[in-house]
Amino acid sequence: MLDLIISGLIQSAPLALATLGVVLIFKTSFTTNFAQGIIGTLSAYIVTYILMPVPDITGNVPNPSVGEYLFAIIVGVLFGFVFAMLIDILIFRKSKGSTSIGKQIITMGIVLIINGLIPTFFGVSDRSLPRIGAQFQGTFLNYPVKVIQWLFGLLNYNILYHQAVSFFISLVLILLIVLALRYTKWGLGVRATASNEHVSSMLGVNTRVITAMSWAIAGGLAAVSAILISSSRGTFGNVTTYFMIPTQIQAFFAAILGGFSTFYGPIVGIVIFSILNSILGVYLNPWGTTILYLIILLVVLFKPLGLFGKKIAKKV
Amino acid sequence: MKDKLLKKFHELRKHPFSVFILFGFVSLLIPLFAPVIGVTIVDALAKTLIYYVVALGFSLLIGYAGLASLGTAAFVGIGTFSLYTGMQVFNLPFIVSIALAIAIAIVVGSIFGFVSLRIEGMYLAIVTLGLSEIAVELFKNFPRFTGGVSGQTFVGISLFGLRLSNTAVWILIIAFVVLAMILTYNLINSPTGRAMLAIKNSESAAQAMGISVIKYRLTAFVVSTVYAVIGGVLYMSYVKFSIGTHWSLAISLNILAAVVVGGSKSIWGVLIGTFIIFGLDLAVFKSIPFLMQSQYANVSFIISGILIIVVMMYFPNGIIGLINKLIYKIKAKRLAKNSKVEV
Repeated sequence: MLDLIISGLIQSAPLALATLGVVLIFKTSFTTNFAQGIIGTLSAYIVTYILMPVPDITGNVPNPSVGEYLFAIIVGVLFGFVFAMLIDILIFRKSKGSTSIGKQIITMGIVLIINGLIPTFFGVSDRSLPRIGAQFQGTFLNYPVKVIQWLFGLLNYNILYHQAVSFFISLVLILLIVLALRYTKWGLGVRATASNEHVSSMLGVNTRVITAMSWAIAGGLAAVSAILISSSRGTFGNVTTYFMIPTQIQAFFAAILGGFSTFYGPIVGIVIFSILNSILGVYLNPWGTTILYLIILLVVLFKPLGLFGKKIAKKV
Repeated sequence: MKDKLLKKFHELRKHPFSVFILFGFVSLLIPLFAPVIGVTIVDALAKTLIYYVVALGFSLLIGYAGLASLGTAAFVGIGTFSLYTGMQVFNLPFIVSIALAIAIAIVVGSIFGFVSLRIEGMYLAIVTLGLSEIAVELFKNFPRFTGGVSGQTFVGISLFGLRLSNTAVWILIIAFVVLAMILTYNLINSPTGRAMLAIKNSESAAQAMGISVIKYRLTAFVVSTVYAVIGGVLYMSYVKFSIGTHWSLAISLNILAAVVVGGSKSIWGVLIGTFIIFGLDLAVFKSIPFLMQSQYANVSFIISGILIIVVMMYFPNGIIGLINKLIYKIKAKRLAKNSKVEV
């Protein structure tokens, strides 16, 4: 049982990044971004393209060196960063007047566009990312991973190398963003925009830059989570057009469970979600996730604002 | 006597339903032209009209209740498999199978709609996205009803002991299309439709006027699911094959595109939108050799996506809005010419 809880906790790490991205955009653009997953997918495709422009149909996963892999990942994440920022600047900045459901529909349009672009540019054969692990054993990344392995060793849990890498990267990114939200000017701006966009722009907060940066960071987070999730599977064909859809749904449901109104709520939500998912996945296979979705709907029926939600009054 | 008949004819012509019925009669003739325009085009038209029924339901949801859903394809899938289950597993008559499909849609739609709409309108899209994922999982794991991963073949429907031919199914499709148009027209122009519009324009103001927001939103969602299930029943009757993985997010998004692009508040606008999104893809793109290469199979998605964004940003009334504007301009010009007043 303890093993299941810990493995759920480990799985929640990259999912938490996706959730954080969803919440950031919800706070600054007042909509749920359905394109989050597909932006990450596109970034993961770019990483695979850099590593192996023509996928090997016999089923071999590329085997890059540390430098190549790091370079590809950085390009992929930067792409997600810039791409999401462009979406905000080119589309959302110009549609401030639309309702949040109108904006949702626009993000669905983006999903359709990228859905069509991926096979056009990258072909239809499956692509794959290698596990992050063996390549990094000789580099500086090895030390924190060893620490994490030792920590989980204390709990009598044998964490795999790539899981430890993914856990470490996610933890660092989440901490960075939480600290940035708390202590930087951007974080203050995000919180001000979230509470009232109009008033904060009148008081001198540059909401345009704040929103664009939030989109960019969400895009970068989407890319990191997509790369971590696909690479941790490590098998051939782990990058496909639709591989981020379950992650996207899990991020949304976790955010509903935790409540969209706070930043920490959805993060706690995704940790609870992943732990329950890992437990139910063993006892109720293959219906674990489905039953978990239904349980969340049941919880929301009694607590409509989520576990940590706050009621926000609205004026006509 | 002649005068009386003429008067009656004029009355009929003015009746709002007559256009829909005329449209139905004209569409009935299309299979006659199959030797000229080709069987594939007729096939594409039939599928487009089936998706039109689904899109009409969705237009109520988007255009009148102001909500978005991503579970449309799941409900179409439920429709296809309910028809199969009803007619081929339990040997029920066609009408009873349709009733079964509608009952499932109402129950599932009410549960998921109620939970999400109680929080906020925006949550419906998230919850229905989850629903579509659950549905794909269900389709995969109940092979007795859905054929599992290999899909389910349907022998075709029989009405009053007769197995229907493709032409007969075409007539059935047209009948349902006209019925859907008339029902939608009635609903839009009823107090329910007006209440939905009021909620779309201002949720809080409508609530203050005593309109129950959740009641009308839930009604819109459940009605749209019923249309989707009917679309599924028609799809299974015509195509005679349905596979769970087909009813994924892409179909839901394309139906959304059809409604938004055509003009979500207009019955004819949705028809134009469905023809642009589905008709163009099924009839034109699928027959261009260059685009038949597998990597370009999704090119139509790019066009749909761009159209959604452009329409949402600049033309909130869709293509029908543009057409209406154009007609208005021409009429104004003609009026100005006739009365010789400078404009």
